[in-house]
Amino acid sequence: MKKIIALVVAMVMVTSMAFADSTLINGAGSTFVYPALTKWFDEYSKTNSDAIFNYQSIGSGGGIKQITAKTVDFGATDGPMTMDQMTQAPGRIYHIPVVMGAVAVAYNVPGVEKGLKLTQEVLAGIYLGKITQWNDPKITEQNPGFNLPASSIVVVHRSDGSGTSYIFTDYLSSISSAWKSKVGKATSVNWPLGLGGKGNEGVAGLLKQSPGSIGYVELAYAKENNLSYAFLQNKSGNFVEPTIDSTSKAAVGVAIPSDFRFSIVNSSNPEAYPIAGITWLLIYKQMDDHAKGKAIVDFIKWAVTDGQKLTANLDYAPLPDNLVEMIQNKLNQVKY
Amino acid sequence: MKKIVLTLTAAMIFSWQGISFASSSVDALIQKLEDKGILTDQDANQLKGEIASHEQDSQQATFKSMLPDWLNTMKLTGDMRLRYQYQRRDADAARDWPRNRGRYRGRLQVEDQLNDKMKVIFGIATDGGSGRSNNVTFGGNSTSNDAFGKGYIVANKVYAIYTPTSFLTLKAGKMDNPIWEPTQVLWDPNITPEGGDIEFQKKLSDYLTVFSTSGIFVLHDASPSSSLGQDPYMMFTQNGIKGNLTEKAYYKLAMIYYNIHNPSNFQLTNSLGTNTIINGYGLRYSFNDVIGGAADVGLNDPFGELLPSFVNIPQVGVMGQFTDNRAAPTTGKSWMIGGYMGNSAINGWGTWRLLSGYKVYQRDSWLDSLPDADFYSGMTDAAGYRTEFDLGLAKNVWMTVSFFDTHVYKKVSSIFTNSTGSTSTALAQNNGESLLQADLNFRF
Repeated sequence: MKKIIALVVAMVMVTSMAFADSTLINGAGSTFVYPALTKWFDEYSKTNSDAIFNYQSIGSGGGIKQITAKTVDFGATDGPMTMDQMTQAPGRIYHIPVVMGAVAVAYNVPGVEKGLKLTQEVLAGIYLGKITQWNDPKITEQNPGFNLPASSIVVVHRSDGSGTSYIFTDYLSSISSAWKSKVGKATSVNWPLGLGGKGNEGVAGLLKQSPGSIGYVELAYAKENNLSYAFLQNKSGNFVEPTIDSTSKAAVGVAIPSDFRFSIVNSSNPEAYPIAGITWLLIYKQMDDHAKGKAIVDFIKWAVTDGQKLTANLDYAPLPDNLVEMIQNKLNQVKY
Repeated sequence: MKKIVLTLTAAMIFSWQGISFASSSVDALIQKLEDKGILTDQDANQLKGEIASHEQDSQQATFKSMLPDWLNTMKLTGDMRLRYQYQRRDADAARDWPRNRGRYRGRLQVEDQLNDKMKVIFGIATDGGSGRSNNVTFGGNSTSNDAFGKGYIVANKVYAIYTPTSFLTLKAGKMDNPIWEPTQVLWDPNITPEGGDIEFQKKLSDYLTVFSTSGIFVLHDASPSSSLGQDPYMMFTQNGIKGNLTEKAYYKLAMIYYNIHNPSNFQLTNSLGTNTIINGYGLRYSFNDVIGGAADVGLNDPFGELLPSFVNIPQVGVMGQFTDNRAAPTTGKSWMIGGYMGNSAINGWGTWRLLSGYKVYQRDSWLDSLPDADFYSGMTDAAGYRTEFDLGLAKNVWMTVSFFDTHVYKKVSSIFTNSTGSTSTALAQNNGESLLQADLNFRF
């Protein structure tokens, strides 16, 4: 009972301070962007106390559903809404890019450190169930310095609707015609095989507890959980480590459409990491609530400029300058 | 102070994970704090809500973990509709007065994924007295018109679905109609046909998906002593393509062939009597060679950002359908053409959809026991407009207003005295009908 009282007192203090003359902004969606948003909310509130942000990291699929149903003020997704999804929304939804990040292919093979080189064929083969052993010749020939065991590969994927899955399956679709025709790209797909984990946290957890496993997680989650991750073969044939710099390179030279629904996977830049993605905040062009609308637009304008400097140590790549300028123009069209 | 708040926040978050709340004690404590003016109403309610929500989640998780797997995979869904209906027929002696009626419909469905490949669906619904309706009219029910009589519940769907591969599905039982129609022309949407089908669908690219649905439905269970000798049934095959021509432009096209095996030209029990019959013989024309086609072509986001921000037209499209019963050369055609705009689905406040079309049924184009029961009471030899507007009012609640402006297509008799076509009497009904329906729909 003492614990409960202490908890309630804590909640009362926090809540009563937080809600005094403040606008509460609710958001939901991507787990990929959650670390960045948390950092931003914390920093932004130091200079802007009139808006309180509450974000539920439920996965991109959930974020799209909730913004469509208008049960949140903004959504967040790592895979753009499909045209079909947009036709179900009660208003025009803007996709606003806020961060770029890398999806790391992490593994738990005892004795094998970071830097295993995986070709496009190998990665697609593993997820299609065609390559099932760690000592498969297609893996060992690219990795002579590693002592790969004769054990089965345990494939791990996301079980929830996930933008990270969208980025990963978008990549596999771009490198494998078999994957494209059999599985395709989406926030949720019929996986040919493997174990499902909920959220980046769930996949990271499965990887840690399952020797012989391989999975995909946002880079920050891989580092945070001390997971080994692969260097992937890009479009130019180079094996590239996921870093901020190699993620930034993925966006160089990409044509940006006016609705910002574009992909940076499998970039033609020879220095680019191939599984790079964007996270978008989803907002209505016509906001129902003036105070909330203004608070959200102000926050996003800050996030895509000053906020970008804060996310480098979380392994997100900064948005290119030309994109930031386009975003500012788009945000000026939001009505509230 | 900032440090203290942060520490308390952290304590709150960690405690949140680990404590099972004694909600009544907590509620009492919050109430006390509210009474003392430490908390505002709003803050207190929010805290109570958060605690209740967390407790509910925990209870649900615990409860779910105690259930067997098959029960965890079970889904219960349903819908309910309340309807006001205005109906008037011009100069019809039998109905020369407007009818104002209230109606209700309720449906409940259990769906269970038994394993990776098999699913079963069982649905019950209010009894509308025919295969084309689950409506119960206020003041009446399927068997009597006693004051406040109770409506019956019937088996609406009972079927199994087997999906051996991602592109192949087999169904058997009393099922949701698997035949695609852009709008209701040949089939009333309440019909749940009985039989089996095989469905194939394969996406070849973003531009092209091929699909095929073929099956057999039984139309009547004949008595062994009947002169029919065999149950009337229909075989059908529908084959089509669909896809996106561009990100915005989409299409769906299909052709269908029906072969209705109907010994002795049996007039189905629930026939409305508008197919041509010959006295003492039965249906004048067979339905064993019916072909048809359907198309739906549209644009998503057709206006881009050209419209003001408060106007939202996410989709516009046109659709058409035709049918030709080749056994009836002069009275065997039906067709529909129409258009729609709005959201592709009604999902909460502000979503909307407007649909309008013109339909013609020649007398023998299709079995008169199957078309949309709201369009001139579901008879053939009818033509007219159907307009429908849907508006989302809240999550899972929406209204529908439908208007049917219909009339008899041609004043020819449906009754022949012999097979050469001599007619007996002039057709009694040659009138126009106005039907307005205002529905309040709930989905759960």
